[in-house]
Amino acid sequence: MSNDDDIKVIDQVLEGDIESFSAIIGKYQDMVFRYVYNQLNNYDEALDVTQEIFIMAIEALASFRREAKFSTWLYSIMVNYCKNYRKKNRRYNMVSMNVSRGEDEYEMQLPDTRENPEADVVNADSLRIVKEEIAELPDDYREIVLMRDIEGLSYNEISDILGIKLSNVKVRIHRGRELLKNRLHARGLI
Amino acid sequence: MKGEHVPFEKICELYDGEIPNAEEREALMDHIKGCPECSESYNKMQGMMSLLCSCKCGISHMQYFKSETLIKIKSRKRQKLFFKALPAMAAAILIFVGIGIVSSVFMSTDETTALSDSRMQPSMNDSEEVINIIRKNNARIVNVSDIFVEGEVSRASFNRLRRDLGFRKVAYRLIENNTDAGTDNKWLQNIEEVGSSNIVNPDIPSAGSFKAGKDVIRFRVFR
Repeated sequence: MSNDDDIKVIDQVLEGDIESFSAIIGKYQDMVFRYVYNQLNNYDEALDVTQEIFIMAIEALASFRREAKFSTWLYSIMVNYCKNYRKKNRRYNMVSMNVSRGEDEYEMQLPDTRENPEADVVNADSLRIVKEEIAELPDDYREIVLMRDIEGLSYNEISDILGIKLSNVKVRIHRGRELLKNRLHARGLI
Repeated sequence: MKGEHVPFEKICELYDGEIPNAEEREALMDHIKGCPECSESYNKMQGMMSLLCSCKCGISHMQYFKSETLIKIKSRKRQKLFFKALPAMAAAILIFVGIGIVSSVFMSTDETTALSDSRMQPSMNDSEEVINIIRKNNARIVNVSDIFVEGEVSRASFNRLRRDLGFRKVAYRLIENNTDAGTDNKWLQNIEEVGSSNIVNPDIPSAGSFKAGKDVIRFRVFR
């Protein structure tokens, strides 16, 4: 579904056909959930927040000016929501992360989206360590690493979403990556 | 690039394909291939990217997510509409209550008026009846007010008049040659309920005490 398809769906939703919004949810739910989950590190919380982000998006749909891609607009809602949510629940998050992080990781059945999973098997333990280290990154670096290296957004898209200069995006990306690389190296993963 | 290592920033840009200049790109790659330190840095970066790719999980196993979200969206919309309509509803309730209060005030006024009218009606009828009785007994009507009907009758006719008036309150006094017609004080002392002789004040002169003659009795029949 291209951006034009997104626009068609948005028009339908704005005309009152709320059911058609399910196409948007279906298209972006994994992406939003992944980002939120990596930000919050709590499965149930991430699910609730993902839902809230879609609700917020549909409620604010009339304000979407179509200058940027819908996905960029949705990402900016997602990023801001997560930022505010983390700020609001920082104290509690830290407690819940320590307690439930391990359980969440092991209980989740994560579908592998790689083309050839057997070629590059990453066991659950490595995955847990990577997620732990992502979670430990400073907020600014974590959000940018998630957007670039997990969601595969371009530098320009990140710049639009975060509302920062392209040069700042580059700086944050390389600093975030460097920090993460050193930490993963220290834990023997790379 | 000779003698210098490729900064990590450049390695990142190279990895992301963010170096548009082909010559620069080739020079960087040549250096990385020949420099063990830069090569290690580049390999670590690739390894990290491979690990990050493994974090690309989804919620495809959450088959009800879409429908649940839509249900939530609809219920929020309903809620929002309700809260949006709340001021209007509150205003409508206030208007209804206001109308109710105002109409109840007017109703009670109307009812009071109606009640007073209904009280007035028999009272007016009663006055007419009293006037008729007075006329029938050859008495003269002097004054009709809201409280009483005043008249004059000869002493001879007064007893018959008292009987005909039935259970009414009557005040009367004897006027000799119409000389003390203006004195009101005596009225109060001589009020009796005619027709109920058993509760008549003993101080009030009985009907029999009036004898036929020239004297006139002025009376007031109270409503």
